[in-house]
Amino acid sequence: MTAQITARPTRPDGKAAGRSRLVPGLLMVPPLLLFGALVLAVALFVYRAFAPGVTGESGVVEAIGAGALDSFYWAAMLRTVLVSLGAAILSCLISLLVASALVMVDRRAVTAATMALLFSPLVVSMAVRGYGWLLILDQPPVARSLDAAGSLLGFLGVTPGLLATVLVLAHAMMPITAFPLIGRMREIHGLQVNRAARDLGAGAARVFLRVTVPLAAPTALRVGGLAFGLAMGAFGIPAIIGRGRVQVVSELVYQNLLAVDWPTAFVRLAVLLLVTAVVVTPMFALAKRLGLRTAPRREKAA
Amino acid sequence: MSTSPEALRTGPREGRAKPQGVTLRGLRKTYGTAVAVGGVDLDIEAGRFAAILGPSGCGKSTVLGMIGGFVEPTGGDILIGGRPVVGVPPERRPTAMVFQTLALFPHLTVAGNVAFGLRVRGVRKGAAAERTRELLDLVQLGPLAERRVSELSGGQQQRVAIARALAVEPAVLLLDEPLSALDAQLRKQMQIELRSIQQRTATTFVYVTHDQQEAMSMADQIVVMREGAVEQSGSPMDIYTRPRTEFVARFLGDANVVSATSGQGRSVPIVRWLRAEVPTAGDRWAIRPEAVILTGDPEDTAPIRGTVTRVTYYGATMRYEVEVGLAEPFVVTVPGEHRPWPVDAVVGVGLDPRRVVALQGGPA
Ligand SMILES: Nc1ncnc2c1ncn2[C@@H]1O[C@H](COP(=O)(O)OP(=O)(O)OP(=O)(O)O)[C@@H](O)[C@H]1O
Ligand SMILES: [Mg+2]
Repeated sequence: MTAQITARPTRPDGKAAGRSRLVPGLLMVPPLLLFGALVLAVALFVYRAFAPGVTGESGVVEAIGAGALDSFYWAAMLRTVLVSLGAAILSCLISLLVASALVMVDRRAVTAATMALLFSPLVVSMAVRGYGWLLILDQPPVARSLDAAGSLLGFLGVTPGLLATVLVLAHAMMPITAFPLIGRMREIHGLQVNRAARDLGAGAARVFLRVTVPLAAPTALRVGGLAFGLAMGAFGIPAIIGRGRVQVVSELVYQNLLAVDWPTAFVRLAVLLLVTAVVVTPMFALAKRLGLRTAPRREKAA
Repeated sequence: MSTSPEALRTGPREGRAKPQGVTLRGLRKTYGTAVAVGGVDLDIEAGRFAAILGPSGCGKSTVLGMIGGFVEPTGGDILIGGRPVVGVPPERRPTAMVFQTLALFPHLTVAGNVAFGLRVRGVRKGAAAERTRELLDLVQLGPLAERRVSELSGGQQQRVAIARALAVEPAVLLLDEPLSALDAQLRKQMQIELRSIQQRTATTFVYVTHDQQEAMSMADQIVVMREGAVEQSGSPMDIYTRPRTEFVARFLGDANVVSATSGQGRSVPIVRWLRAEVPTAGDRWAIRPEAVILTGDPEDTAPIRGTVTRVTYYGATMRYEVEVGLAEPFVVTVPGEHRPWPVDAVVGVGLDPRRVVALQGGPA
């Protein structure tokens, strides 16, 4: 053993170091190729979108003129935002409650089973999940409740199909929202602040609102933002669960792409990204500000 | 309850909540078959500073948790101010806890932490702010009221935790090793400060520690626990000078424990002398190292003689180990300012029967 090691001394000329960089370099080739292909595709997409159209103007300008961003589009956008916000909030809320319960129960088997359950949306195909949900949603009591809730919120443009979409999207987002929130809740529990709050006279509800929620808020905002962003691009679940009646922006873009209408697809997608950023950026900024309040302040370098 | 909003609105001097005593009767806690606390009987008088002292795992935190309402007792009773509190949730007990981890609210300022208990108990904002100011002055944190707790030193955080607990004017303040995270110097300072806060607020303190020095220097009453039971309870002087068992004698300070049943037994002169002068059923005695007088050049008639085997100089004191025919060397401390006896010197060992304690029970 020792003889082998001493027989191969590290070279002072840095050749050994050079070789050690070669392997990671090679490992980076496939992801770089993939990334390159992606950039190329986007570039091609932009090029096609901006290329002059029939009138000789840029395709994008023509598309806007032809109604790429008409009231029909904005109605779909409103629907998309509603569905995504609903799904993100619902998913975060369920995650918070589940996390609280897990911390309270504090049983390893219960935690493991719950984690597996929360993780399941990732491993079950979306189509299978979607049709499974359709079966559940078709059960008369479920369908009746959705109808009732839909007519209650009808003035907001909410339909039973839209509510069902929110529900199923929230389920799909559980792995994203639940795991970080469970971790955060464990941290909060470890701080014993809930106990301290009880001791000082706060009942369970107050402890939740005044201690748990403020301490979990930065994490909730971050995972909520992430879930919202993903939901904004979701396409399969609204199509399946909405039974074609919950048209989201991705669906419109998909149809444009099928029709090889690059400019319209581009304009609609760009606005979708813009709206997503407009909602998510303040959420992340707020999360950062709230998080700073609880983290030790870093001394600024002199 | 003693901490009604009305009571809280008054200042710390006028009309404070009265401190209340704590009584434990046959208090038990088991986890499955493991006994964490096995039948504790204890009386702590109102307004006293009681220290619960014992080695790690003896059940100190469990007892405190049961008084505070965080741990459900398996059996027995807890009376606070004469009223049974078993089954009453923590938020409705007249107690407040200073946690070992402090458990400060990281999202609130120093003032926010202190005001928390007042606000959830329905004290109006203005009154709560005023009371918070008073408490922060009491713990000398007035200028730091708007700081975040993460920006404080360990000792300052400690004081926030104490002020926060005192804010709700508990009849009993429970403290679980609150100074264990601090360095020695700050610890000393906080011990003095805590003691003075306790006296100024006249609150009953139940203070858990495994540091005997801390317990001795702060408490009116020391409760020594061992393996889930109270071994002895009394004033610090009482416990130090009159330990009931070998465990207590050894746990609080140094002690020479002489047993007539081990070593060479009855034939040793010191055992013969103890038998004659301080009779005990248990055949076991404790003698503090400073309660022994050494004399040089003993006559042959000196009842107990020994040979110096080790000398250690501590500045203020000198520590001798003297071989007197027992299994362990006899430890003697004398004031440091004298000409020391060298190793191998033969010395007379002088004992005062009044300063020898007859122990009960078996070995520790
Ligand atoms: N939740 C629990 N489940 C099982 N056993 C427990 C639990 N809590 C405490 N115990 C056991 O009860 C005994 C007493 O614990 P406790 O925390 O009261 O000790 P302690 O005197 O406070 O010790 P330390 O000085 O180390 O804090 C220990 O043996 C411990 O292992
Ligand atoms: Mg403990």
